[in-house]
Amino acid sequence: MRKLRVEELKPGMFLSKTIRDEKGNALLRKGVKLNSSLIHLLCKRRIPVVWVKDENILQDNATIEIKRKEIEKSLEAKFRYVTQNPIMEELKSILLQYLLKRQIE
Amino acid sequence: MKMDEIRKSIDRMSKLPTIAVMLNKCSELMENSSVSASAVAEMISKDQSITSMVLRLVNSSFYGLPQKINSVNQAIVVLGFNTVRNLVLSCSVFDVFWKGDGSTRFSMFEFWKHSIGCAAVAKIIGSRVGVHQFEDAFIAGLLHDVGKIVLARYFRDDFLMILRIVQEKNMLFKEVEKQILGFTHAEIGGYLAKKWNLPGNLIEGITFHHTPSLSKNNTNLVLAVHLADIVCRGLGFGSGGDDLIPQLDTSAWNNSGLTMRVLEKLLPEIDKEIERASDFLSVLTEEENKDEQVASNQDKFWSKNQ
Repeated sequence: MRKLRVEELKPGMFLSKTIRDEKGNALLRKGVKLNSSLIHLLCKRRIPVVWVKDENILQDNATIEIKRKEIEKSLEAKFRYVTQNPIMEELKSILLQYLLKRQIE
Repeated sequence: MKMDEIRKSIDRMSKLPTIAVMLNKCSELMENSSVSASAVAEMISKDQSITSMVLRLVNSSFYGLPQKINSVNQAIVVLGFNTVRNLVLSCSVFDVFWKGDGSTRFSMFEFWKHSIGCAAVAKIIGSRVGVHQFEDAFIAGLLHDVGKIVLARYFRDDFLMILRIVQEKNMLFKEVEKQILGFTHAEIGGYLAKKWNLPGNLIEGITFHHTPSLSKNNTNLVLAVHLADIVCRGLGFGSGGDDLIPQLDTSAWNNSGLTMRVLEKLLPEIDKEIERASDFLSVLTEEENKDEQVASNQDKFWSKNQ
């Protein structure tokens, strides 16, 4: 399974995790097959990211590179307080590798 | 505000004793070897709300037991005293503290997600660094940020001010707390834990979760919580109000014998356990296991948007 932004969703994909609102209420249950109107509604509800099952998703090198950059950017932001510290750099690096692997597999 | 004021307010909180009474009775009964499982079960069963929560958890996919458990007594026989005591503690705390502060800036769901994620990760790391009772690492992880809830609930103005600065200036929550209050949620949580008469390792786990090397007797358990907090933030699981990674306490880390290589190898297991912990939270919030509730939410979602 992998995490996609709502604009990356395509009809026919299956949710691999239940979508919840900010209060934790379940909106759409895992296993639901997405169609274009559901995707549209998710956009309207400003659901940022959604977990979907792996079928029908093609990952080319360019996509992987984009993902890597996104993860790197997000980790850089989280680690902004602890830069220039070897142990924290090492931690950041293993998290990057792991998160990327999780996205691709 | 001075820490003294917070202490006085905590002393005055009317709902808190419920948890303390429940816990003390549990511990008392469990420490006394002549007391039977059924005596403990009977005491717990007197609180129906806690009992039903405990039974829902015990029967959830989190434990994945082959047979249905119908009573607290049966749960103690199958899962053991410590696990049930910890479940009772989790449910009692959750029962009192689940409700949000009404602030749009702070999501209680994300907060508990972070807390439960930390609990699951602390348990895994705890077992790796030789924490004998790694179930306690789970509870320490679950409660490590309880001081933030005290702030959100009882010192709302200060809490909202801290949250606003955290988000506007993108700072660590504990740094803003130091600036505004002169102390942090860790100290508040530690005081509350003492008030509840929690065991020393849990008090230290909460008080020193940002500074495990200051722990006197439980450095490894506290490190497990400290590291769990960092890993959950890194993996983006839930949020305790800020979205930044604090500095790892290198002294405690170096003494633990852990290496980044070991941590790297633990990540898949940690991720799986975090996923399981989501089930734990779903049961506590009564959403996932109620199909009709989900269906009704789905209906609301549709009707609102069409």
